[in-house]
Amino acid sequence: MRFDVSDEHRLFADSVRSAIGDWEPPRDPDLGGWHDDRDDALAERLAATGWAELWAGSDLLGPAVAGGLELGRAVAPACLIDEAALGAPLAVEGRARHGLQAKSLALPLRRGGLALGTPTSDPQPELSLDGSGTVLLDVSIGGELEPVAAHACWSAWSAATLAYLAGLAVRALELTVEHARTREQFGGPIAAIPAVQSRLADAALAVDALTLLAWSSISDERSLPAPELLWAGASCCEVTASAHQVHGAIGFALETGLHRYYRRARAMHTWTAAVCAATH
Amino acid sequence: MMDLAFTDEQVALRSEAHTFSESLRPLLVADPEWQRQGMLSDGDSKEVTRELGRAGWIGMTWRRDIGGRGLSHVDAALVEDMFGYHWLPLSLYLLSYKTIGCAIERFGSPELKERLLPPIARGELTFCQGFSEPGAGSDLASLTSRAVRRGNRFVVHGHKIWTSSAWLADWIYLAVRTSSRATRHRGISVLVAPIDTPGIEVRRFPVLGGGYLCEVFLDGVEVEAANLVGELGRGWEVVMHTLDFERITAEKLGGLAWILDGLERRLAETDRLEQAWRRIGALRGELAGARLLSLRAADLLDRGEPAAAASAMAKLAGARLAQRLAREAIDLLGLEGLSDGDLTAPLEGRVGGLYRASIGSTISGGSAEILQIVIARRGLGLR
Ligand SMILES: Cc1cc2nc3c(=O)[nH]c(=O)nc-3n(C[C@H](O)[C@H](O)[C@H](O)COP(=O)(O)OP(=O)(O)OC[C@H]3O[C@@H](n4cnc5c(N)ncnc54)[C@H](O)[C@@H]3O)c2cc1C
Repeated sequence: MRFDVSDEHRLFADSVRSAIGDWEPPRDPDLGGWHDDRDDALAERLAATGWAELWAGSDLLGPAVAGGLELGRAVAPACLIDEAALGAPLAVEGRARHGLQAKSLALPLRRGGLALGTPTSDPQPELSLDGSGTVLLDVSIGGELEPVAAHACWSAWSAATLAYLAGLAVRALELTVEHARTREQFGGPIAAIPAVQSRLADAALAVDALTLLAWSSISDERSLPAPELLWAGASCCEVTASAHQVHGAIGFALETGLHRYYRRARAMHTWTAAVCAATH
Repeated sequence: MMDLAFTDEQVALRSEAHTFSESLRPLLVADPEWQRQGMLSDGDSKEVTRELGRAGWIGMTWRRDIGGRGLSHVDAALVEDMFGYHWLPLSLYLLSYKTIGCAIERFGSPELKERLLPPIARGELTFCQGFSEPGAGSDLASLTSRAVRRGNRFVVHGHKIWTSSAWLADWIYLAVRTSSRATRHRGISVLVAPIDTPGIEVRRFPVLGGGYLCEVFLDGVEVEAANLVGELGRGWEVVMHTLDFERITAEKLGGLAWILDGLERRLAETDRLEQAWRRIGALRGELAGARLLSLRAADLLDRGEPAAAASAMAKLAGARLAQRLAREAIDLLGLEGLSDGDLTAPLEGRVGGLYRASIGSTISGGSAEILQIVIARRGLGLR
């Protein structure tokens, strides 16, 4: 066993990070509206790093994890994972994420199956907690992938999704530790208060476990490691909730952007749980 | 003997509140902010506040001659729970009557009460609460906004932040430092002033709950000395009393009860209730406990007994339930639970909004950790 990240994966992570740069999603100050953070320019910059080819369908999913972590840190659009791993936006429970313009959709099937489908109704934007461009639509199932191909797609998707969840949590914790060190109350930084330290320590534990789980998925033979994905989603949600608690009211103001981690974590967790249920 | 059943009068009062709340539905549906506001107690609406006043619902616990109904705080909590069930936007009501109005009734001079309470009760005068500052959140006693006495006026300089409803309110209730020598809890006073007093500037900004919070800049604001609430330099007592009232969040529990009923109905409609009954049952139990904590705190206020620990428990129980219910509801509903701000969606798209907004409920009005300290120290006597 080795617990250090290889130079090759580090380099790939760096190239993904510089492709993301200081990317920000379209602002959505009016919450409760419909919004889609899909960004073609970002997708092109990522494509130039070899984003999809390097990992999709490959036996070695290191780049999926290295890149997924970076996407999570930046709260980048989830379609970057769905389209690279599954070949199309994801559709489940009568919805597709980033599905407004989709010609084809990736549909999870029982026992780890995967099919491509096409929309048969006009997509209806669904106002949603998160800006993942969710639409309601009917889909007709087209060709089902061979089990081996479906397996490879779900392995890649799971690895990148686990890493994305870990990336969200990693960055939310970094921002929170930074805040706790600089925010002063009762004559000193709140980072010195035992209750704040306990909360941050729990978050750190979760973040480390999430990151290790993400890297462990490189060598995981299962197509959909459902228990890990379900735990990772719930755990990521807890870390982002703790991040808000330690930030206090400043995190509640939209301008700090912390809310993006909190909302995306819950949305990713819910989509992931829906996929796990559909492929059970 | 303990008797926790409602009296016939209380049942009738709740039924009256239910009928009134239903009559406001068209007003609510027409308001886009109402649809995206994830926490009814943070909902801003001057129109609803006016209607509440017109119908005699503001100042329920006050004497009749100042516009009240002479009811108990327990009665008021039962009515507020019903308002919450109908998801009325209650921020201005809660600030103007329950927290600030009740503190003025207790600590204000007879003239101040005479001047302010009747128009508050009519829904014609609304308040916001300027306690927190950029450097004074949990450590409220470190506030630095300052008021200096000049003749029959105070001149106030400072900066308040996170002020709910300041962009709509008519008056502001301010905690300020009035003595340069005394530090921390001593030397704080409470003043009230019309928000259009020269030198007050309000800026609002959007927040995660779906509405706005405000910053209030105070630059040479002249406030009549007669607008002092309580004694000079003894404002900490007034502030703490105000928080005891603020922390009984019966209305929030009513809103959560509506979500829970809707959740159960939706799961039944979609054949999912059978697998979820344990989790729904546990949430119902938690709600029932939180309601009793809230009513117990209101009863202590009615009896004039110390209520700090009881109201901290009431607040914390409601805040925790709000967060747990939002999580559980999304978990049980799946992707449709993420819908947010759409009246045609399951549960009127309230679950996504509750998930956003409830994260603030363990921060506002005293963070969870500060409430735990109050419970440990004032309730359990730990030091
Ligand atoms: C929706 C909303 C509405 C609000 N409305 C108003 C309003 O109308 N008027 C008003 O004056 N204020 C208002 N506030 C502000 C609110 O009172 C403060 O947010 C609250 O007191 C916490 O202060 P803070 O945000 O500065 O957090 P901080 O004090 O910076 O605390 C950050 C974190 O550190 C923890 N912490 C701090 N000290 C301790 C300690 N001693 N022990 C353990 N943990 C500690 C806190 O629990 C929290 O988790 C509102 C806030 C919100 C979110």
